[in-house]
Formats: sequence, structure tokens, C-alpha cells
Amino acid sequence: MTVPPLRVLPLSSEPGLAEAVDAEADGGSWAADTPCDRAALTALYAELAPAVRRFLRDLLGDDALAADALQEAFVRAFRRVETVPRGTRLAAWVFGIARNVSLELRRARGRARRVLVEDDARLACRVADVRARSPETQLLDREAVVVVTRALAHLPEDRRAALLLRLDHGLSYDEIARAMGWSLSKVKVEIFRAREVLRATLDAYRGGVP
Amino acid sequence: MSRERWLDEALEASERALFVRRARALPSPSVPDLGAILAAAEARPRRNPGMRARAGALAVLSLVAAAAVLFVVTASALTKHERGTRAILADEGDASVPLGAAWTSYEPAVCEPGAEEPGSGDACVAVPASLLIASSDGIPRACVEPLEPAPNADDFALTCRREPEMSSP
Repeated sequence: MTVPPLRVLPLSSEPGLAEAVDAEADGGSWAADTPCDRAALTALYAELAPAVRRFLRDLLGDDALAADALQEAFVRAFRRVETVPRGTRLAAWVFGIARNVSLELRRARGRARRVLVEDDARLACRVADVRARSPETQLLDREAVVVVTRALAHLPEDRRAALLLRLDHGLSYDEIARAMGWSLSKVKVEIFRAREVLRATLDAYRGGVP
Repeated sequence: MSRERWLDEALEASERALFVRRARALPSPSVPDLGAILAAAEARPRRNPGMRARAGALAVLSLVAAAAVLFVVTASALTKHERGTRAILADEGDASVPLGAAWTSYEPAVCEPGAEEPGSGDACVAVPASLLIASSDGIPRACVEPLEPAPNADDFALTCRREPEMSSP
């Protein structure tokens, strides 16, 4: 069973989405200038952990592995939170740890060449069944899952991580550079190329090309 | 703001909207209980700050020891090399020559009778080994005109009519 191509509505077509995008672009509620200590991380955990798990799942392509990585990342974060330099945004720092943990797990389990291979039908089944949303919204959301996952599957792991940190988790280029251990110019180039792939995937989807 | 930048930001906003939709659509993942995370963090042995300093000091000491060993080995090899190739340049019978010094490579340049001043170059020839005569004091001496064929005469003066004129090397 395949999901038929759907039209992509403009951003302003749905109430609340534009505000959500703006909030994400600003780093969500993590953007607040919170102190880097155990209490701050504890307060952030409930909101940050699902996002970090999604990030890890996108990198590792495996739910169970992502769950292990999430636990390891936060254990490390809680042990080292007192060492975070002043002015560092805690969420960006945790994403950096998560990225390192994912690399370690990938190496340990020999999954260096693994890419996301889930087909669209499986993805469609995984989409949350939220009855409160209109059928059109649910359809569009499902479409977003398919398109984004297809694009991510075509990206090398490093570039995928950079794109996710930028577009999915709203980190700034500076924060991504720190999290990835890259120069700022490399971050910009990698994200630019990743966005090209995303746009190409979107164009192909709009044109009905599977 | 330039037009290109404005367009890029608009494009990025639409791409971000795609990710927001996706995040909203995916089932909310379960996350471990915070208490479990904190307990795991506490249970993990902490690195002692002093331990890191001690490890650093140990590493530095190891490096210093390795450098010292390398220095000693190199110096020893160089000294041995110098000893093996050191040449003693001296005239025969030179009192400053240490006891036991070998003279095997010493072939004083001498001049044939009637030649120019010794050491000037062209007319001088090395004394062949057949003209080296060991005298009673154990020091081999060169003789241009030996009187006797016996190479081990007790009195050097009796075996050699004319000694080469020596020139300092």
C-alpha cells in the first residue's frame, strides 16, 4: 500500500502552525537564558527528551537504539551539566551530547552504512492518530512525514544531523558548529546542500514522482 | 535585508514548517523516567578531579623518563662512535700520545733523497709498510734506507741509515 501524493499547503493555511514554526525557529522554550545546572536540566527534561529522542531516532534509524542513546545522553548530561560554560544554551549542548552518543553507538554496532529504509506505508502507519485534528491536517502531517523521511534517507549521516538540528530543532548555526565540532562555514555549506536535497525531494513529490 | 536573504529565510520557514508538521504527526515517543536517569547518573562512578591531575602528572613523568632514556642511548651510541673513529695525529715518539694508542694508520709522508722540503706535496711519498720497523721501545718507525733487512732490530739506529723527516700532519 502506498500513500498517494498530496498537495502541500502553504504555511499560512493552518492556524497555529506559523506560530509553532516561529517558536521552533527561536529554539522553542529552550531559548530562555537558563542557567546551566542540574535543576535547569531537570526542568527542561520533560520537554527536551522527546525532541532528543526524535533526533536520535532520525540519526540511528532504530527506535530501540534511540531509546538507549537517549538514556545514555541524559545520564552524561546530568553528570557534566555543572561543567557547561556560561552562556551556553543547555538544549543545544544536550543535542551535542546526543550526537556523540549516536556516533558511538553506530560505531559499536557496526551500523556505519545504515540509512533509513522504512517505506512510506510503514511510515503512514506510524503517524499519530490524533482525532482532534481535521482530516486534511492529518493528511498533510502524514505527507510531511513521508517527504521529510525520504529526504533524510538520501543524506549522509553528518549532513542529516546538521539539517535536523537546524530545521527540526531550531539550533543556530553557531550552536550546530559547536555540537558537530565543525567550522561555521562548513555548517552553512552542509545545511545548504541538505536543503537542496530536501527541496528536490519535495519537488519530486509534488510532481508525483515516487 | 537583501532580497536573497529574505527569500532564503522564507524558504527556510516553509521547510521548517514541514518538520513541525512531521514532529506533530509522529507518535509521541516515550522517554525514560527522570528518576531513573538521575539514579543512573549517580550510580556511575564519578571521575575524581585529583585523579585526572595525577594521570596527567604520570603521563608527563613517563614522557620525561622516555626522553631521558632516549638521550642516554643516543649519547652512548655517539660516544662509542667517536671512540671508534678517533684518530691520533702526532709525530712518532710524541709523549702526549696515550699508552696503547695504535699507530697502524700512521704513514708519515717522507721525501725521496734530493727532493724538495718535506710536506710540500709533489715529491713526497708515503712510507711503504715494508719500511716500517718496530724498534725496541715498541713504536714502529719509518726508515727510508734500512741497513738491515731484519725488521725487529734491537737498536733502531743500527737498522736505519736515514729516517724520514717528519712533518706534522
